Amino acid sequence: MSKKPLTIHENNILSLDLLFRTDNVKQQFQTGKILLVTGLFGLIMASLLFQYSASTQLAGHHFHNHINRMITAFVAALLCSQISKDFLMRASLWMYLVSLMLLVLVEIKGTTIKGATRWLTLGPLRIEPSEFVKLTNPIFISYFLCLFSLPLKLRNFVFICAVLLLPCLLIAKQPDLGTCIIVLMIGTVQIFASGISYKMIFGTCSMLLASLPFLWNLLHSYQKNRIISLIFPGNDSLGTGYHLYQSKIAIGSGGLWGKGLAASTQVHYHFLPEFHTDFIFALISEELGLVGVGVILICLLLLVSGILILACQTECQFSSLLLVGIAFFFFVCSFVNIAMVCGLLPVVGVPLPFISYGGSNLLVCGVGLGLVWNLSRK
Amino acid sequence: MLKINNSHREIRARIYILITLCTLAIICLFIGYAHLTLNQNKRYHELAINNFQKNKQTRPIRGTIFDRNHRPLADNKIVYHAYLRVTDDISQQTIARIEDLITIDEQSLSILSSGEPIKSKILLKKDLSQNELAALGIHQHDIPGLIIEEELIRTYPYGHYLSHVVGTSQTLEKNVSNHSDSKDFYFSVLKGMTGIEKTFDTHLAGIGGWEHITKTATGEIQSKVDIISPSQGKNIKITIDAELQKAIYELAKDYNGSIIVTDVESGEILAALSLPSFDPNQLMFTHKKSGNQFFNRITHGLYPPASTVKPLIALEALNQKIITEDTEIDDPGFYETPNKAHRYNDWQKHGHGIVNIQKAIAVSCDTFFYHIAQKMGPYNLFHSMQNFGLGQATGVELPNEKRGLIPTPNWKSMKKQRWFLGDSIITGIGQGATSVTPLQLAQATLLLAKRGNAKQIHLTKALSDDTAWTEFQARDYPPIEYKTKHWDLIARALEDVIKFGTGHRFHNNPYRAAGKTGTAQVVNISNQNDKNLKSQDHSLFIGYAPSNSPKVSIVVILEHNPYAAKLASDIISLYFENFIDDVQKTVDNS
Repeated sequence: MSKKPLTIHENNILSLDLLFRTDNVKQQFQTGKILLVTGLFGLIMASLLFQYSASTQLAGHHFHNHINRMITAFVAALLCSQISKDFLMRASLWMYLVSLMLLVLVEIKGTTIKGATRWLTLGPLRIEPSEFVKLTNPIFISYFLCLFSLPLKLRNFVFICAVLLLPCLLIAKQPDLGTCIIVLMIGTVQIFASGISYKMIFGTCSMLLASLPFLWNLLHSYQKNRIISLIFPGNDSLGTGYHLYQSKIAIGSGGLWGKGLAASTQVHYHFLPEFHTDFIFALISEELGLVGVGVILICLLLLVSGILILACQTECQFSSLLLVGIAFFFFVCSFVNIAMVCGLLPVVGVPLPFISYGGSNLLVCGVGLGLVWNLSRK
Repeated sequence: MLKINNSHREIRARIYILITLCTLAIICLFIGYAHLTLNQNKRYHELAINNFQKNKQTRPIRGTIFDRNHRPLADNKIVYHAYLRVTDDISQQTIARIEDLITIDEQSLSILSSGEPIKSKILLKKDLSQNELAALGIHQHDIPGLIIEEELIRTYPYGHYLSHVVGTSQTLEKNVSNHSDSKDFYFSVLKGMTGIEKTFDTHLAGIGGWEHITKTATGEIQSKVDIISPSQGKNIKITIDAELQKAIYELAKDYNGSIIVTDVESGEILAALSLPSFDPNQLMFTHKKSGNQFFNRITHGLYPPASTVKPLIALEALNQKIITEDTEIDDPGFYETPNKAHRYNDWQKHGHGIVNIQKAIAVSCDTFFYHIAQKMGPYNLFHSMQNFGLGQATGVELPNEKRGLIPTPNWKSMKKQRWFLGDSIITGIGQGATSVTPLQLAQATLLLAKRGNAKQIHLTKALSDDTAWTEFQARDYPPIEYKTKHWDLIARALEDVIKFGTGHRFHNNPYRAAGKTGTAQVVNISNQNDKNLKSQDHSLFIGYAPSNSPKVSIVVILEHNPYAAKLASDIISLYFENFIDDVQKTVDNS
């Protein structure tokens, strides 16, 4: 297949030359990449646009910082794209073990902020190990899956479930329900993608349903409150439901076309909390309305399905499963965030990938993209 | 590296399922957002606007109360209060920082430190001083949630001198919305609670306006626009001379009782005191109002009129020809009922000897009036006092005036009791169940001074319209028709009271006055521990000066103190020396 000129080349942010270096790619492969790049381009544009909009309401060099962090993320992506796949596979076990150790360390002598012990303080640095788990876990799961003959047998399935649940339980204990659910979801999807039999799927599902009341008792009271305030948001507009209530006002008042860029009243009068981080989607919805929401959702779908199509086309199982893991990392994070902002899910502190302000969020996204870039290169 | 193709095909199939699931999930999200943005747009749009924009009722400026010389007696002033708006957890650090600057109210502090959940905002301190205001003003921006609100409050420049006349007002919170929990819809109104403030509340209040405000979630107001400006309340001018009132207060502040000074010609009340008094300025922020000093004796103080009713009874007795100018009796110091069953003592143990009506009034001979009372009977006694306005509300512009009581057989039968001759006899000297307010005595004195053709006593001088003052027109009191010679006789008798009678304490006064004293026996001694003070009788004095052409009339009632006449004399001197320019000193030449 001859080199097909891509219009995207001109206005991309990442150097697409590197991404599309190989000449002998298949047509489907190209489709995946085009979808991916289009989606990514849309999301990055949205990130710049709305962080700029948010910066009009914030003091300091907010937008400037955001650009710097994007560049950092890009460098991370470049670095990750150069790691050899064999190294990644060999290192995955160690990454898993180290992250597990860090989680145990958090449990023993972590820093507690607002009642949650999620951080490790190392001199001036404060790290949140559960953030790493979001990526190290999928890598290890995909490696681990490749070790067995697929589809999984029951014994192996139980084994891999244990491997998946161990970090999840540690994270849930911090407590950080949001991250726990994301890690769990990504692992579950990877196991599903590995071709596990439907018999086992139904068996697991019914077991989970049966243990639901027991799980409810394990939740912390504030987590229960969040779930309750999700169901009855009007009850308590200044208490636990306040963020959600204001967020829904922002979304609902946006209408079809929105109030215009940088014209959010909810943000301008400080009613919308965390409008540049976790609740940026409410800002998007208020300023550009349902149309803006639709465009972002389409971009997200393009990005995710692009990565999934790439996963279909790779010959290597490890790559496939890891790409599925990364795709669902983006998807689950985005879904949880977007659903939480409009009140479809309880409020958990999950940033919106690519768009939310925050160094670690962008960095993880960059690493994820770097790995996609790495694995999709033949 | 390559695994079995079969399993890889399965992976692909699963991935296509996942793509479908993703698409469905995205569609679900989109539907969720479409529901919010399209179906519920109207509702949320309103909520968004209500978040930062509000139409708030604004308080009108309350009208000013002036005295007769245009001195303000009740005015408005701006005070500042500090609040803490609660959006998230309040850190103890913030509280400590605020505490460095001001002393937080104990009640608020206990709420803050108890960690109870607080909604909306909490009051830190009311009525900040200038220093506190400046300190908070500097730190307002780095203490999150700190709000300084201004409030227009009522200030009373003459404070405790005039508190019972001008009255008090209070800030009442009023909820104007249906949502009982939304604090933003509350607005406060100043409402007159007592005195002129209450009587003329609607006149003074004005009409509230509306303003459009935009504010942030932390309560910071970003803009304010008046939609309807509040219209200011109307002013009122009262007949009181604040400086005279103040001077009298300084003379009388150690006593308990009531003093009323009235302009004879116009019926205007120049000074009205109820002692002890209180400072209404200190009452703005507390709602506690109990204690002797809050009792308004001017309208609510019920006293036996005692011997001050003797001229009124004498006039009626003369009119009904029960006695004549020349009727004389021999006073042995007591009166015996016709059946000799009861004996009523005169205040003078050995009696006054031969007394006629003029002397009887001058020396306040009880025996003479026991005789008259017995002959007149209860209904004539009742009319003699009722003519002069005793036992009925005077209609002065003060709220909830007491009516007092003149006992009659009817009244006693309502209590299922019989009327005895003794009831008539003690009513004849203004004792027994007879009770009147200082205002009623003031009206009666005015009628005595003007020989039955006086104005009604009143407090209103003028009411302001939007532009000009409208003078208040006093009504005439229903005239009392007695013969001139009887009026002359009583006037001479009242002069004699001062010259050589019971009003001798008044005698040194250079201004020729006429008056009548009274001593009300305190029947019930409520406080046994304080017996020395409480067992003393009340003393009363009513009078007017100068006696030949009365200008000013005065009523003094002192509780548990015999010096009413002396105090009245001092007040009369004070008045003529300092508060009247054009009067020629009518020095007693006789």
